[in-house]
Amino acid sequence: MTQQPASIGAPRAPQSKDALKTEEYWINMGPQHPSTHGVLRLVLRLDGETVLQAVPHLGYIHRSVERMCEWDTYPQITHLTDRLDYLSAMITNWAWVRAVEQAMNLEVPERGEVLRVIVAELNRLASHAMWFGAYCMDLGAASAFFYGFREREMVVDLFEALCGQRLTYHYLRIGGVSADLTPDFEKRVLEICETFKRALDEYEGLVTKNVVFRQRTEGIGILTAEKALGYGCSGPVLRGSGVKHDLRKDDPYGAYGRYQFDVPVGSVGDCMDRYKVRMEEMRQSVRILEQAIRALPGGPVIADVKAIRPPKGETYTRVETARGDMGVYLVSQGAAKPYRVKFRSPCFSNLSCFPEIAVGWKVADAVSILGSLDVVIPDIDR
Amino acid sequence: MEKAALVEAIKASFPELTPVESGGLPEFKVSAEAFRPLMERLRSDPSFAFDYPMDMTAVDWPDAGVITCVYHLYSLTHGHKLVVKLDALRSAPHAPTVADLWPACDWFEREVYDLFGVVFDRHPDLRRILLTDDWVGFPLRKDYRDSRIAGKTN
Amino acid sequence: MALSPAQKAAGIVAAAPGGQFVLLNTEALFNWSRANSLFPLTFGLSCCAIEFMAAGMARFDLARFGAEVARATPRQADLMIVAGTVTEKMAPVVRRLYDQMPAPKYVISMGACATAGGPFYFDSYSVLKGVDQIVPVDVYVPGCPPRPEALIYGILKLQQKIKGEHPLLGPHLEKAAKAAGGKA
Repeated sequence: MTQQPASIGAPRAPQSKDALKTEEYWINMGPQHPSTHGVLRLVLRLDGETVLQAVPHLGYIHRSVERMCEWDTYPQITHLTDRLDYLSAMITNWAWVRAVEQAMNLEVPERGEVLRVIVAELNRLASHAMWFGAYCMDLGAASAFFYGFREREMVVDLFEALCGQRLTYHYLRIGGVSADLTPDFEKRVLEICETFKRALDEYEGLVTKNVVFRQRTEGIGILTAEKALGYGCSGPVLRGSGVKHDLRKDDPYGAYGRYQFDVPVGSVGDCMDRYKVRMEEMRQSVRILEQAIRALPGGPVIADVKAIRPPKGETYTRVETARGDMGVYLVSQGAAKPYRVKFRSPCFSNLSCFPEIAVGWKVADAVSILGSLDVVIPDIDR
Repeated sequence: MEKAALVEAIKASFPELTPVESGGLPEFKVSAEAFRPLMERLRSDPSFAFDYPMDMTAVDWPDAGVITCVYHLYSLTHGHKLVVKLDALRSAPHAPTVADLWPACDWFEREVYDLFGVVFDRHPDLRRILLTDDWVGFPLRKDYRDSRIAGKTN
Repeated sequence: MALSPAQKAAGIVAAAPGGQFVLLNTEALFNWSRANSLFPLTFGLSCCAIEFMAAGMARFDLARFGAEVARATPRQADLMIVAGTVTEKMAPVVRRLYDQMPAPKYVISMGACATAGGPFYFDSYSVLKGVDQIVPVDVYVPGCPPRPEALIYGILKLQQKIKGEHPLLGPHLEKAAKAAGGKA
């Protein structure tokens, strides 16, 4: 099934006097829209159904988090990071606490590191499960949304038993994690692993080979590797374009270095490739979880740290969230509060390629492309 | 390239630059004149191959009277990282754009303009990206005051 | 068929094969139908939206309360669940959507951000300190984010509120009519 975007600027056949006179027009998509995954406003210039230009307007959920970071102490900022990319809140927490730990040269106890990996991979599973549901719903297959949430609820229940929260966890703290595991944690994680293996097979059977799904994702929104790099894309968007870049492998942090897992990559860079990368990532997360939960070291879960005051200087750290490379640039003047914090949002760069790759496709395809980029708007707007 | 070799290679081509090390990454602070040639070289030279714009932001230093633009560059081909800093005067902050070298910097620079007020010369479309178009002031500057902020530091 | 006292107390006047006859006044009937078939507007702004979606999913199931049909267009919705932070840039949009909804319309402010600005109350320059600054709110659901059960509790409270209101004047006009000294 080869599909081509409509060619723009191609010479049209000479119009007969009976030909339709058409005009381009601008329409507004969002900020309240079921398919924009948050408050994103897309202004589209259309020729009929075909997108000629897409202009994203951001900032509808700009909550001035970076400014607030200059007035909060280092531990207080952790709760703000939950609210950035809330679908991978554990990993976003990790981005921040890792930045502070690196600035302070603070060592996290081994058990704390392993617990971080476990909750991060569980979070990745929950995030991708929800993405799967939301993406299929964008394409019209609303039932898949229920399936995605069914699996997500298992993970979220476990997190609630662990740290009391379903979405904005604040579980990772500077120096480790806030609480040790509940007694039945290992059993429940293994159950989740088994459930996800079955569920992923179910999704493959229901969705991946479905003719309608394939027509709506194969060949659509092709992002070449070179463009992906230039736009600073990361995560499944970059890997779908064939670039094998995963921070957990290339720049391992925490306890990731001790686990075996593969990094799936696509070939063409269309929506189907990004979808397949995420599905395979879920399988790899299950693999990491099974290794991690079976080899838990003992010891404390958090370092004994009294005053959190990184010395004067700056640091840059990155982690691999479910959406890509989340970076934290921290400038400290040796005080109890940071001087400047910048959160490098993966979705910001992932979305920046949308105006280029959506051109020439129909509006419904634009929805498919936007869904395949998996953007969480508060992460973009901070 | 190893960090030391990278620093040496850049210094060989741009001898006027002085490297520092900050947070484990090699860093160069450049003047506005040397900025474009350096960035173009970092982008195009295959031995550097900085193909991935990791991050670009700014820091306001009111005591020094500058807004420092900070570029974090990464090379996926070679695996090395670099930090480039450029000072812009607070009184009239200008900086050359690199949006033509790395498309990601288009939006990064718009964000710095929006929050700090740094004008990027020859940027294709420099307008606010996060705040409303009629917003007055640049919120991430240290002297920004806003009656909407109910908290202590205002 | 004879009716029990409990059935008579419930308003049932006669039993018939396959059902019953109930005597109601039209006010109660309109309010009952409005309360039990709320159409929420899909209006997730940030994190609370995920809990809103979870409330509509199979586990917590808003469909039990008649509110699972979330419409994307405000013209077909009568309940705006403001789930998430309202910023200065978004405020005119929220107001416009509220104005586009046909009366009777209700607003649930879900989460700490929509109620009062949430964790962004003190230090943010761009967050509105509560959505009630721009739209009248019927029910506030606190939490960050509130559990889906908390949202369902809020919707049940709203249903109680609807069942007690004047069916023609609706929730907000009733207050205005009373204030103007008119018949309520």
